[in-house]
Amino acid sequence: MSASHRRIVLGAIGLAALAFGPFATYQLTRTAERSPALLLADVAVGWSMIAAGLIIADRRPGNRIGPLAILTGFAWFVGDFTSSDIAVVSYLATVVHGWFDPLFALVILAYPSGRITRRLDRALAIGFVAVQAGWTVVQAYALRPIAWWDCPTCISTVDRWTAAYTALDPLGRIETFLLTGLSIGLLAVVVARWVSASGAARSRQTPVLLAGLVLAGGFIATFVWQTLLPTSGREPVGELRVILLALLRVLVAIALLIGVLRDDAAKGRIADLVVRLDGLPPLPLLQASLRDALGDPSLEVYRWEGAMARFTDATGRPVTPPADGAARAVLTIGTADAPELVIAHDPALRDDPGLVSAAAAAVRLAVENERLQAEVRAQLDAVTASRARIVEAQDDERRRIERDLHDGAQQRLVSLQLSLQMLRRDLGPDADPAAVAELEAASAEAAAAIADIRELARGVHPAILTESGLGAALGSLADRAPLPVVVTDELDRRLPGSVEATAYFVAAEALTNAIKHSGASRIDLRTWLADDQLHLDVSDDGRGGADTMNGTGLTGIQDRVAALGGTVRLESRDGQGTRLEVALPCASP
Amino acid sequence: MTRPTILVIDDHGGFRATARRLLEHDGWSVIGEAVDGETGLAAAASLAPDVVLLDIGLPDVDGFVVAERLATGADAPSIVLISSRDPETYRERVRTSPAVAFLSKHELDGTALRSLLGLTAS
Repeated sequence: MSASHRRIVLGAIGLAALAFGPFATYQLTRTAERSPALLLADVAVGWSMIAAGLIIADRRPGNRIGPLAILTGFAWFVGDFTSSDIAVVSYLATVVHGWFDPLFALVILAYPSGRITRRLDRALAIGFVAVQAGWTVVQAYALRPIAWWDCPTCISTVDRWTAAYTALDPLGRIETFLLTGLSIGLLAVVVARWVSASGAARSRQTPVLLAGLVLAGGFIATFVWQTLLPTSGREPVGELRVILLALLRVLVAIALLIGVLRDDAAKGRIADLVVRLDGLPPLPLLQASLRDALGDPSLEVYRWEGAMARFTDATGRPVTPPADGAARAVLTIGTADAPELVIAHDPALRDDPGLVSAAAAAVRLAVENERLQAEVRAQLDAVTASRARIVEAQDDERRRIERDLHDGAQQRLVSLQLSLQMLRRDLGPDADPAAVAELEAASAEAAAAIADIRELARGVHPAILTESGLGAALGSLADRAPLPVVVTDELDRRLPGSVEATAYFVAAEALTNAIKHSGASRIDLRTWLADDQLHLDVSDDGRGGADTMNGTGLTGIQDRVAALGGTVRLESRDGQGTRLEVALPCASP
Repeated sequence: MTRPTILVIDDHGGFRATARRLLEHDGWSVIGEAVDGETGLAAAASLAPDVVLLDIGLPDVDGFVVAERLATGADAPSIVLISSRDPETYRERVRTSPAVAFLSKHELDGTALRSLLGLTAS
């Protein structure tokens, strides 16, 4: 049956119970005066059982406790019809209404899974059903109406039924005796279950303990009243006691409902656990979360310390986790060869394998997440480090090329130039003017070559950066710029080569951009150190509107800065100039 | 009139040889050559030249450091820094050093050097 069909059927049953309950209770007033409190208590018992059954049937469709509880509730209401003034109704109600208690017993025995599996439990269930069935047959025969349309208040009917009741009394006592015995057996089973359970499992058994006490208590009271007290001493059961018993039954129905649905609450706690395990918490916190989620205060978590090849508990002490067995249930997270965590819990939780495996899955997920995160972090660290190394290697290479140019070609050209000067002197004042002119042309050519190589070398790597530091290099940049560039250099020490080179590159790129695109009349360059970071601000008074995504210059800046783990901020609103703020981490070299 | 004396400190042999010929031609007396900072300092102490032509990029000690140490003596020589690099490269360091002048190597000229130092021609 689909969920929506089930809802319709359950809704219909609920509506029927809503109407049937008051109608049944109303029957009580047909033959006697009843107080409103008693009527209210009567309807409450039936309704609470039916409501509990409906909710269980809705939330736990596979659990037979739902339909059983609904049936029990209706059996309760059927009892009210014994007071009907229609003979046949009263007769049928009298025959059937005794089923309330045996059905209630079945609910207790089937709690919480809806199945009766243990042999003793089955024997008790069969006993209840057999006794009640026998009694039903006996009553049905003994009380059979003379005619279905008999008037129940007619003298003939009353006489006949009174006689039949009296004749049945010995059998009725046997029936009460048997059911009382069965209910004592049931109480014993329930108490044994409660006593042997511990922790989470014990609290789950509490509703049936209560229910068992109410059921057995009712039977024992009836038995005592019916069998042991002298017939002459029989008093009608006081209304107050009836109401109290009814309230107890309502309580039992609610307790049963909560007990069966506790899986829902447990699922909620598992969901909480999953949320809380976003990232594997420290062991004590993990243990507390698991204890909470599984309702097992005895639960322990042990972590495998791979480096030490041992387990430690939540307090950090090295321990040997218990073995899986009768005393403790043990669960390993990770593989048998490479355990990560071991969870030891109350063996009673084995009754609820779904709950434990859900919690274990949550922990497994957290462990796996932790491992993946660590992997990603390690990879990211490796990539970041290698990117920084690439930039550094590139800087080193450029520095080397600049030095080679300087030490090689440049020196040779310098020597050549000086030789030409020497030659000019050797020729003396009376030399051939054509030769002198030729010599001076060669000298000028050599000077131009020297200038070219200087320019080339500066493009590869500015020697001033290595020789004089970032401040001087920025000053040199400013001097060569075609518009006023004001350098405010607040650095008081040299910085690592890659930091200086990156800052210089960024400043040069920003100046180039500002000069080309901003239409600025003045550019400010400021450097300072704060919190082990080199800060570089380049701001202009141009038209603004520069875009980070626009132009390879800014992309190049971002790449260079990011390679050293630095940050770039660009502020460039239309008409308000452009301001580039760069921060580069530079722990003391 | 005696020729002014000069000590050339430069690690580049080719440059030293050319510079010697050029300076001698322009009326200087090159009384010594040194290939690095330490031997340069020792030579300056023993030879007491009027002028030291000092390369900035020396293999052992930075030329600026050598200049500082040369300048501490009572009878300190005039120091002229030379480099094949653009003077722009050294900016403040040249300005704050005890050197009296900076020359690009390829612009070396004994006559110009003498007038720069206020020494009369021979």
